[in-house]
Amino acid sequence: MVVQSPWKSSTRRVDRSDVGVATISETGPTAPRPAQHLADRGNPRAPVMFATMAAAALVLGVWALKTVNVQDIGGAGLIQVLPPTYFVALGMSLAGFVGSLGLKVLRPWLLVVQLLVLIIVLHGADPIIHDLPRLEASYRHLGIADYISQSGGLNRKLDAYFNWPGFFGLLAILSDATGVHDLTWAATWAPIGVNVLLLPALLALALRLSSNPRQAWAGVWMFYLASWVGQDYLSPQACALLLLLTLLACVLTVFPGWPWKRTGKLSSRIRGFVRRVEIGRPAAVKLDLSRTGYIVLAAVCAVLLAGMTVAHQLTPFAAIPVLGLLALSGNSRLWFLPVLALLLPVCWLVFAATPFLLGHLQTLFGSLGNINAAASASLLNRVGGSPAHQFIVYSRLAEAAVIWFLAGLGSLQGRRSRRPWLAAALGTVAPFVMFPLQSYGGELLLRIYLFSLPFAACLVVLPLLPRGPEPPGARRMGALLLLGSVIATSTVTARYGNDAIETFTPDEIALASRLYSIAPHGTVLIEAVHDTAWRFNDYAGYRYETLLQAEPAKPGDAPPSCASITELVPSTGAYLIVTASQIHAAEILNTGPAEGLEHLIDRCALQGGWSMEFRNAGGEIYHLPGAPHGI
Amino acid sequence: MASEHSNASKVSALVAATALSAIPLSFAGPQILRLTVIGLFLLAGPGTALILVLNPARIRKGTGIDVIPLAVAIAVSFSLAMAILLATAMLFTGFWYPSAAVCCLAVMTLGALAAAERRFRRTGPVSAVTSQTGRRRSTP
Repeated sequence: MVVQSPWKSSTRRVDRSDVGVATISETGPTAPRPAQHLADRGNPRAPVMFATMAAAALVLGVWALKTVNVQDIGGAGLIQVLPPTYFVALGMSLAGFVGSLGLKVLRPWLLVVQLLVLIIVLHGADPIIHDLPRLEASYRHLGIADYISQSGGLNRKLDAYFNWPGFFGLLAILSDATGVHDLTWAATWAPIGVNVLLLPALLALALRLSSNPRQAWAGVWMFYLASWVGQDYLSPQACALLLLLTLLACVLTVFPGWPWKRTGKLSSRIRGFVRRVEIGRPAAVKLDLSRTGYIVLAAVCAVLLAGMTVAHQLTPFAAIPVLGLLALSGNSRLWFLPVLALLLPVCWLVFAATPFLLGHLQTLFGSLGNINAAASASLLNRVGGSPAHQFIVYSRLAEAAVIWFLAGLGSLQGRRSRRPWLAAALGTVAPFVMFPLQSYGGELLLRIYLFSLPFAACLVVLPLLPRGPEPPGARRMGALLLLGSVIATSTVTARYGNDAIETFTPDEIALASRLYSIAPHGTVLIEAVHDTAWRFNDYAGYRYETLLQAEPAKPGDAPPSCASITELVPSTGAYLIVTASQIHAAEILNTGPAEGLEHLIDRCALQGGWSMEFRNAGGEIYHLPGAPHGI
Repeated sequence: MASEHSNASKVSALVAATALSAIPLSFAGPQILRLTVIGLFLLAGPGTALILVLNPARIRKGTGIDVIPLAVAIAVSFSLAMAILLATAMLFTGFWYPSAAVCCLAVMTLGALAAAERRFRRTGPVSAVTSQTGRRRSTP
C-alpha cells in the first residue's frame, strides 16, 4: 500500500493580483504541512478576529449614534455631542481594516466587510441619528421627482433641475412603476446607499492606479476616510459621480495605451516624457475579450457619458480634463472620448437646456477666467459666521489641503520608487481646470475636492505601503492607522460640522406639510432663511421666496428688516415659515439681524398685523396680509 | 467548464427571473414586492445582462479581483445610465409611461440574456470570449 505523505505534496507560491502572495497546492487534495500553512497564509484565526472586530465596531458605533441627543447639537455640529464610545467604535473599525490589510494573504471579503462597517459608522451617522433626509436639497429633489411623476412632464423654465432631468426621471420611474410614491426612505438612507454603490467603482479605479492590491484597498479606505464633502445624498451629482468613476475605471482597465500611433516628433516627445517621469507603469489587465467586446465596452463608456450629461450639469465638465489628460499620458486609447465628453454637455446646454442657457448667460460665462471671483466665492465668502462655524470651515479647508499635500508627497515617492503614480496625479490635478471657469454657487472648490479625491487617496497611502505584494510591516501599519485616525476625526468634524443647519426634526417636516394644507395653490410662500425642509410637495404649485440666504453675511449687506419681508409679499398676501433650523442657521452663520431672527419676526408680526396660522416645536407659520402696492 | 457555465447560468436565470417579474409588477402587485423586484432590476438588471454577454474569461473562472469590481461597477452604472437616458427621452418626447420604460428595459435585458445563452451554446465556454470571426484577442 502506498501512502502519500503530506510532506511530499508540492506547493507553489504565486503572486496573484487579487490576494497577493498565495500558495497553491499542485497535488490536489493533499494538505500542506500545518507549520508551512501557517507560515504561508498566516494565522487562520486572524481573519475571524478582524471580522469579529468589525461586527463589534458596527454594533458599538450604531448604539453610540442612537444615544446622541439631537437637541444638544450646536454650532460645531455633531463632534460636540458624540459619545466617547463612538470614537472607540471608529477606532476599532480603523484598526480592523489596517489589521486585515496586513494579513499575509489578502482576503477581499474581509476588506469589503471592514469598508462596509466604516461606511455605516462614518457616513451613516445622520440617517442613524435623525432618521430623516439630510439637507434641504434632498426635499427639493423629492419634490422634483414627485412633480415629474404627477405631471409626466418638465417645467424647464422653473429652474435648472428640469433642464438636467435624468436622475429625477429615474426616481419618478421608480416611484410610478412600483407605486411607492413617498421616497423619503431613499433620501434618508442615501448616504449609506451611495457610498456602498461607489465601492466597486472606487476599487476598480484604485486597482489601476496602484502598484499592488493592498495599495488599492488602502486607497479606497482613504477615500471614505477623507470624504467630508457630504454630496452623497439623494442627488444627481452622487449618481453622476458613480457613472464618472465607472467610466474612468473602465477606460483605465480596458483601454490603456496611447490613442495615436508612434508617428511625428510631438508624439515621440510626449511618449518619451511620460516614460521618463513614470518608470513603473501598471501592468495591463488580461481581459480575454473579443474585438466585439472592446467595441461594446467603448459604447458603454459613451452611454455612461451620455447618462452623466443628462443627469448633472457639472460632472461631465469634470470628465473632460481627466479623460484628456489620461489620453495625453498614454492611459487611454479612446481618443474620441475626451472629444465626446466635451461635445455632449455643450450640445446639451445649447440644444436641450436652452431655457436655462438663455436665462443664465451671465451666471455661466460672467466670471469666465476670473480666478479672483472664483477664489472669493469658494473660499473667502465661506469663511464667516460664529467662531464655531469658522472652525468647521477652516477644518474643511485644512483637510483638503492636507490630502492634496500628501498626494503630492505620494507622487514624489511613487516616482522615486518607480511605482505607478502619473495617472493618479493627473486625476488629482485635472479637476482644477474648472476653477477659473465659474464659481458654481461658491461650491466649486468643494466639488473639485470630491472629483480629485478618488485619485488623491491612492497617492496618500502610497508611501505607507510596500512596493511589492508583501504585507506592510508593523511600523507601516502603525503609521497607516495613525494617519487614518487623524483623517477620520477631521472628517467627523468637517462632514457633520453644519449638522444643526443641515438636519431637520419631524416637527419641522410636519410644519411644512401643514403649510401646504393651509396655503392655497399659487400663493407666495416665504422662508425666513434658505434652510427649510419643504418643496417635497407641489414643487411648481407655489411661488417660493427667500428672505435670507444660508451663507455668512458679507460686509456691506443690509440687515433684514420688516420692510425687506413686506417687499416679498404680493397684494394677495403670503405665508411665512420660520423653523428651528432657520433660526440655528441665522445664528451660526451670523446672517440674521442684530436683534435675532425670532425678535425680528415677532416685531414685524405685531407691526404688520400678521396672523399666526400654526405653531409647533419645529417653528411657526404666519399669514401675511397683502400690501396695497405689493408685487 | 461545467461549473463555469453553471455559475453563469445561475446568474443569468436570476436576472431573467427578475426581468420577467418586473414586467407584470410594473403594472400591479404588492408595493413591497414591486419595490424590491423593480428596484433591483433598475439598479443592476440590464448591466448584469451586458456583462453576461461580454462574458470575460476571468470572471467566468472566478479569478482576478481586478476584473470583478469593474464588472459590478459596470453592471450597476450601465443599468442606471440606461434608465436615466430612457427617462430623459420619455420626458422630452412627452411619452411618459414608467411601466412601459420598465418593460422596455426588461425586454432588452431578456434579449441580451438570450443572445449570451445562444452564443454560449453555439461556441462553448472558451470560444465564447473570442471574436465572431474566431480570432482571439488578448489585451493590447
